[in-house]
Amino acid sequence: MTGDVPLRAAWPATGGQAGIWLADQHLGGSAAYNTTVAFTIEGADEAAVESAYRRLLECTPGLRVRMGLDRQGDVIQWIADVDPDVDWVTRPVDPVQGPDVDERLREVVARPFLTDGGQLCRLVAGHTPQGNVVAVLVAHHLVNDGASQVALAHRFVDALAGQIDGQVPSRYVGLVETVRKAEHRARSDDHEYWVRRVTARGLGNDAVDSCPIVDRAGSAAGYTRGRCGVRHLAQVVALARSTGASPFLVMAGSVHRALTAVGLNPLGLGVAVSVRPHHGRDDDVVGCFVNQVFLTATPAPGEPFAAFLTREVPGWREDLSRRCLPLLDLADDSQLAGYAPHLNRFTVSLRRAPEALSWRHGALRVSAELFKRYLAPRSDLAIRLIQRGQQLEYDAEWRPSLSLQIAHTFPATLDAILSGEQA
Amino acid sequence: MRESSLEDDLSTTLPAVINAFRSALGVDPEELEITVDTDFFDAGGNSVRAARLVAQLRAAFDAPVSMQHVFTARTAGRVAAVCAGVPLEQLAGGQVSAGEPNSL
Repeated sequence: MTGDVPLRAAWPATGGQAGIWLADQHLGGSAAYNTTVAFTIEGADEAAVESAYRRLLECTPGLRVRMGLDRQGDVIQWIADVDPDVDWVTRPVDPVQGPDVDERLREVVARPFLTDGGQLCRLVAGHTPQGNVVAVLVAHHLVNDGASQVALAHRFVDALAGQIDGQVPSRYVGLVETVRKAEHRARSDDHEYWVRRVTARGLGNDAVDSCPIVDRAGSAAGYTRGRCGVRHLAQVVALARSTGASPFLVMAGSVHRALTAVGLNPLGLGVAVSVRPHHGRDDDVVGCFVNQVFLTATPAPGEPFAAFLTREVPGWREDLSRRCLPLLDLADDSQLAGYAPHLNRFTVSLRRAPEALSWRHGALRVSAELFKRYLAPRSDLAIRLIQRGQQLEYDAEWRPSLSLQIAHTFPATLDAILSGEQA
Repeated sequence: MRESSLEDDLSTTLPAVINAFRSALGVDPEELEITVDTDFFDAGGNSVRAARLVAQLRAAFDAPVSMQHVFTARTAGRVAAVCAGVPLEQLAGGQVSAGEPNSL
């Protein structure tokens, strides 16, 4: 950070957090890591919404976390005082619906956070023509992950209803320490495993030269949201049963398969995974506790998809059991210098979402949408799978550097693989 | 900033920047000669090492050097110019030379 770091009150970031911080710095002033929870609120005025947001910050230390560099160049974090950043737009806005945030709110939603020492969340709100409030809680990924996003939605509504409980900072700090210990163990136990895994496929010329990435500076990033039918999820579940994979690994395998089918020839996929303890007692702690696991795969021309999964899934399961080694360590490993640019090119994540979140407290009625689209891509091609009951949706976002032909072909290809039409 | 003043400042900052490059990259002088034109990332730098470089530059110059400065400036000469107070936008696309010697 460019200001004074309160060193006595600071402690190290986890490897996963440091990786996101550095990736954000590399993108430089981007909204790529801005996460959103969008609320439609009936029965609360501006003062009540602002008061609830202040109370949310007071009671949620993880939302007050800031990050920067210490004197050794390590990423550190500290908890700042409450300083609510609330923007009201004056023009009427639409109620929350669909993957996009209302365009009148988007400018503030997409405003990059100053991640080098600045605060990492804000609230932007407006009124609908019917007099309801639409409020979008924008949090940088550094302070919010999948588990946290659900907790955030509940906590903001609790704050609106005057029922929020306070989270003590020691829970956040304790979870950071738990994750750091797991990362420390992984550095001694799993590092060589990962070097072998990443290098196993080899970095031949084909991996570099056949990737049709073109330089189209200035053109816009791409985005599409696909909605699959019930048969897609049934196909995923059937394949999971027959190959011994989890449904998520079948989905990840489908993405890898689709990337290969459109000629991108990926060395592997970066898969976002939680590193919170499995017992689940810390899932309500607001913060970011994730890592990215690099799942390598070797495609074989003509191989049926089920055979591909049967061959690759045992390795992927082993990879996921060793999920705590920060990807950052691999990116900085001199043995993997040639591989580092490939580790974050293609990413996939899965969110399990309820059909809708809604609350009612007396005259207060609130609904929330947790899965608004991201506003900028974080990798060459990022796939976010969203499972809503028996429905499967996906967001695909790509950088302008990705060939347009591939970007436009990919969603249909993924759809065909997920549905079983293309084996 | 006048050119002569910039050159004076660079002659002061460049040696320290080159030392910081070497330290952040973890290389000895015998392994890699670092000059005014050495690109930090072409020389093996990455985000982790850029963070170390930024920390060292902040300590050495008491200047608000950011990761963005390093990602944008890239070469030792341009980073030295940033540390000497030259705005990034003035460096865009241009070469910054501190004259001889250009390596340590």
